[in-house]
Amino acid sequence: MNQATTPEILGCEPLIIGHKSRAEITELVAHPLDHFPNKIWFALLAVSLSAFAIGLGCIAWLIYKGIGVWGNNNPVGWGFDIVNFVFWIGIGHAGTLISAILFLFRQKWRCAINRAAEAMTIFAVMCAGIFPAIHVGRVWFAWYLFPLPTQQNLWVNFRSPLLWDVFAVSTYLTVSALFWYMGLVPDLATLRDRTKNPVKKTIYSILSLGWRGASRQWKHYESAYMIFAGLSTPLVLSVHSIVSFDFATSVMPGWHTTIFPPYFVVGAIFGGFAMVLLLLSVTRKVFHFENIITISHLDAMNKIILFCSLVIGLAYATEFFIAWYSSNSFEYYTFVNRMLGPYGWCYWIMVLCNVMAPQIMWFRKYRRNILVMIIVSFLVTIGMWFERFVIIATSLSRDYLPSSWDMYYPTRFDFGVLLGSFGLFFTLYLIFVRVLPALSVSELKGILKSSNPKGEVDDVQA
Amino acid sequence: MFKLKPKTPFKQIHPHSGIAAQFGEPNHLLDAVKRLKKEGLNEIEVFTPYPVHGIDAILEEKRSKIPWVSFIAGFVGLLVALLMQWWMSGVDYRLNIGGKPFFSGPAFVPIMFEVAVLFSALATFVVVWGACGLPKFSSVFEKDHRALRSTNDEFLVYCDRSDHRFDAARIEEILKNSEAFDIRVVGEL
Repeated sequence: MNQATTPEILGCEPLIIGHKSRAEITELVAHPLDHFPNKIWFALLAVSLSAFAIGLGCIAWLIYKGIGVWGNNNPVGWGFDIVNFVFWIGIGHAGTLISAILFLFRQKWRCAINRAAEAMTIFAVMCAGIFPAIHVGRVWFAWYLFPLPTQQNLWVNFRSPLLWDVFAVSTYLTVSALFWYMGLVPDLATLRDRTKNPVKKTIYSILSLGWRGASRQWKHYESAYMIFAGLSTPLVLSVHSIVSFDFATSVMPGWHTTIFPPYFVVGAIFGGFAMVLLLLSVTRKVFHFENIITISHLDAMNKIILFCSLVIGLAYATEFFIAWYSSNSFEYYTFVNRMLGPYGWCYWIMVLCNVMAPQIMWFRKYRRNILVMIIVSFLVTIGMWFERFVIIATSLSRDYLPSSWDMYYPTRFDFGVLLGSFGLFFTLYLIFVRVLPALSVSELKGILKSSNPKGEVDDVQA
Repeated sequence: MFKLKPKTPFKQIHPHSGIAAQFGEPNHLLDAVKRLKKEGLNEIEVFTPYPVHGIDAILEEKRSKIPWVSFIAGFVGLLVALLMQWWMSGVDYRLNIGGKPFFSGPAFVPIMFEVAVLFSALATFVVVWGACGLPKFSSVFEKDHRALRSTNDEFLVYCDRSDHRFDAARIEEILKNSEAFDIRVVGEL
């Protein structure tokens, strides 16, 4: 009854390939939720859970023995803990960019990818949250981070960017989760109304709050959705800006620069998009979403990766140029040391992965090649992790006083916790795709051709 | 201005008793609603699987007041954060940190922003469900297997019996003429 045909306007490719009806979209998205997962899924879950278990074991040992089990030492007080924190927070940013910023820009192609990307945001922020909590050493005092009244009568230090981080990250997690849940409610109502299983029906009924899709409900819903997008947009920019303040407001060479907030935000979106691409290119294949998350969706995301790569490359160059141009010998030394010092190999991995590798995306042929994009996304993920490592390890290991220089070597517990965070992330994602609709059903129905009455708003869609 | 609840709270959103019909195409749906409206019926509601634009104008729905709530909540959050930081750092326990003033205005801005966003988002989230009359777990549609399609691929038009222009025969005729199917009585008589 409802058909999506190739629209003729501006030679755009269709957002949804083929003649899909509304019911077909529902069935396609609900299919993974109705069927028992196969062996591959269980194998992947076993691997992720094992990784997570290793991480938990390392954390338990860390709490028992103390921070000394990590490689952190006197000049390098921040090691893998903060590297991983910044890395995971960054991964989260792509989801909000897709759900909020692309929404405000009326980018309709976001409808196919926003649900999974938003879920990734929440999972990534959860992974990120582990690190500040455990790196305080005595985790049972982690609640000191919040301005709660205590017997000492002492309050938290509101002038510290580390405290701003606490507020920024917890607000980000809360708002992202609410936004994501809001988007889920109409889809949960759809699932509630089609399921025959009484247990599922009860769960979906409770979670969908009794949503019926009345016109008056949609009116409020769309208004609130817009507000959430409008709130999330400055929020996501603020979160990584504040993360960068952790560095920029200190006096360390290589950290104390005004370029940090935009540099970090773009880096976050860059790394996040790589992760979204990595997961979605697999998810679409496994769940047969190829006609909804089409190759042109991936093409568009690759363009964003390419753009971010250029900005990141420019930021690296600007940093270096300013280090030289400022005539500050400490700053200049830090950057030469980054390239040619003992951690030089990390720097070159970073440049290779973040600046060089994505340049292949200039070619349409490679932007549309799944294997190429998986390799590039994988490299970008590695590169962005090394970027944070380079920023933290090189600046801290060689600061102003050569007498206090020391190398930082991570221990197996550092690697174990990092592995554990990946385990948690993939475990949550694997569970998510089996229990909740991985695509936004109601939004996809709204972008089908002739989904809106003739002559009304959004009558014709590309 | 800030009254969120309509005079007859959620009468249309949560149907009690009336006539319902299904539609397969948004154009037919729009057509039917226009005709029903012309007939003088006011207690009409449309249930759709996605927001169909154009219906809201015909049903004469007012703009949602939710943005006002979000704005005020955000503003309150801003003030709460400012007052909290001023009182904790500047009044209750003054601590000299690097010689910075006890009331460090610019340093308080990030947390003011974050708390404003948090308050605004929480208020929006609570108010949007309130305005939608949710949560509500019982519905006359629950036992009506045709109505369940209206969250999947069909559109549902509902005319409430309480409407003073309610005329079952006339409504049925209009619905039939605009390609509705499964025209039926829902709820108890």
